[in-house]
Amino acid sequence: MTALHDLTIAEAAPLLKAKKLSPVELTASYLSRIEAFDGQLNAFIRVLPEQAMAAARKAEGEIMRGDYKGPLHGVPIGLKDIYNTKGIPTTGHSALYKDHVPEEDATTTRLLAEAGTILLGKLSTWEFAIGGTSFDLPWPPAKNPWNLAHDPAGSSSGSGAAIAAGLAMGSMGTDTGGSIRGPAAWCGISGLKPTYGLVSRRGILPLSFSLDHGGPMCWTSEDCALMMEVLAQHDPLDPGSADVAKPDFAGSRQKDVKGLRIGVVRHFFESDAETDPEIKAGIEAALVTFRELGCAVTDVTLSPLSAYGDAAALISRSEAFAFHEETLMATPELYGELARQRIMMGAFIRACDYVNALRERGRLIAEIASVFESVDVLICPTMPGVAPKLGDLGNMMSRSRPSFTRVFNLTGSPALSVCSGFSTAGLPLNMQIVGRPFQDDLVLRVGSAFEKATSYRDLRPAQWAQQALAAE
Amino acid sequence: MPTPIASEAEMGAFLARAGFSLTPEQVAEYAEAYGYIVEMSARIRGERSYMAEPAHVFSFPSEESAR
Repeated sequence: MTALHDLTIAEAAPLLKAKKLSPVELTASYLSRIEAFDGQLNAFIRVLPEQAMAAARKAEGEIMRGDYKGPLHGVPIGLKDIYNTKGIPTTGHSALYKDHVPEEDATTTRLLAEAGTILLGKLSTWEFAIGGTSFDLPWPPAKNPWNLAHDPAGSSSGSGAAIAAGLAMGSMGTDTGGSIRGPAAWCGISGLKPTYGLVSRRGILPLSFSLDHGGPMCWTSEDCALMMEVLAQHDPLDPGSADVAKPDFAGSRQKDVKGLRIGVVRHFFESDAETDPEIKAGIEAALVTFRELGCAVTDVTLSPLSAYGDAAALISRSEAFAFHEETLMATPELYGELARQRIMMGAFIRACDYVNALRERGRLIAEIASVFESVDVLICPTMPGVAPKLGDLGNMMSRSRPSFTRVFNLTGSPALSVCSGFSTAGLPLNMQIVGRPFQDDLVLRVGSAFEKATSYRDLRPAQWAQQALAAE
Repeated sequence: MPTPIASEAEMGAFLARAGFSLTPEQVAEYAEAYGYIVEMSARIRGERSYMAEPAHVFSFPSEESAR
């Protein structure tokens, strides 16, 4: 029998609906695993056992009465600790917000609660979603479940680590330059940065207003689609929220990918950025799989990676500094060194350079739209390599490092990271799938088709599976 | 690594204008990093129509045309 923590949301939902699986039992199992393992992983900043068990008992009562709310009802999740939670500290993993207790939930927090999810706790993040893997904060950094000596990436570090280690069925991350997709890549899970405007930012601590996205992180793309079904709602309280029809996440789960046209942005990883040969081999193997599934694969050309990276970095740093300026000057000692350095660089960007970056952004959005006239999705790596040693990311205070993810924050495109295999060292390889605006359902369908055609979803980090037997 | 384009004294003045007071070591670090900002700012320049407006909060043409 499959262990409870190995069930995906899609597998657990029918069991919960049929009253064959108890939300109380499921939640207790996850809390037990968190208690047993999180001391090594640091995925959680705050665990909420009493609240979680109360919510689980409530969900169980509702389901027993026949008031089943949908596939997330009774599903244990975690939230990156920049999602506001009413009455529960939301710290941004920072001493500055250590005692910050929001008076209301983020819109997404509320939507997930209304769908019947069980909040297990708040998850580690890079400080204010920008700081990097830091050791000078009130809480330690999360570690990579595939190898504790390695980095889980960030900024949604705890969100990625918790899913890979089986400490939650779903989590929420945020993504301003790759902060959902990076941890999804290095932790070997699925993570979606939705189309800009499809998921509300209301109540999420801002980093860079026009590049920030909230989105789901799960073991499979199919599970991300189940979460998106709940999360994709117009929010009049978010000025960037798009008032559009919800993509057909449910219908898309039933369709295959035969006949889809895949564009490979080969110059990104062959010439624009130095990329690990194992990552490249993983992409080539994935393309073979897609051809076998009936897709047409061609190469496409965009502007060089650096063109996207420069505009995104200038916008991101400017907007982040605008948000943090006052507190950074008043209480710099309450920021960690990495966050302080990175945010401060925004002070040196001139207004005209910020505006010109926004003008360049308009050009690049138009460029990518024209490429999507001839293909249905784009593919490139998520990250140029596998997870390095914890803390080896170094100081990135200003450099425009080659990034395959920032490109799609700039264009607002839906972008998904999936696991494309494993390195010889046993660390996850990665692939990014990108779609047209508001075709998040198609992107998830392509990711799901790949996951089902390969066996990479059958392999969990062994360390936690072994010890789980003793914990349960 | 970019050639430093601001001396530490100039960088100190920039930082003071921005309201920061840093140690000499930190000023040196920012003087180096500032070069990257200048490089990026230079690279995004180029020929651009005067009708090329900033994409502050961009919107897609329409849901229908996007699909």
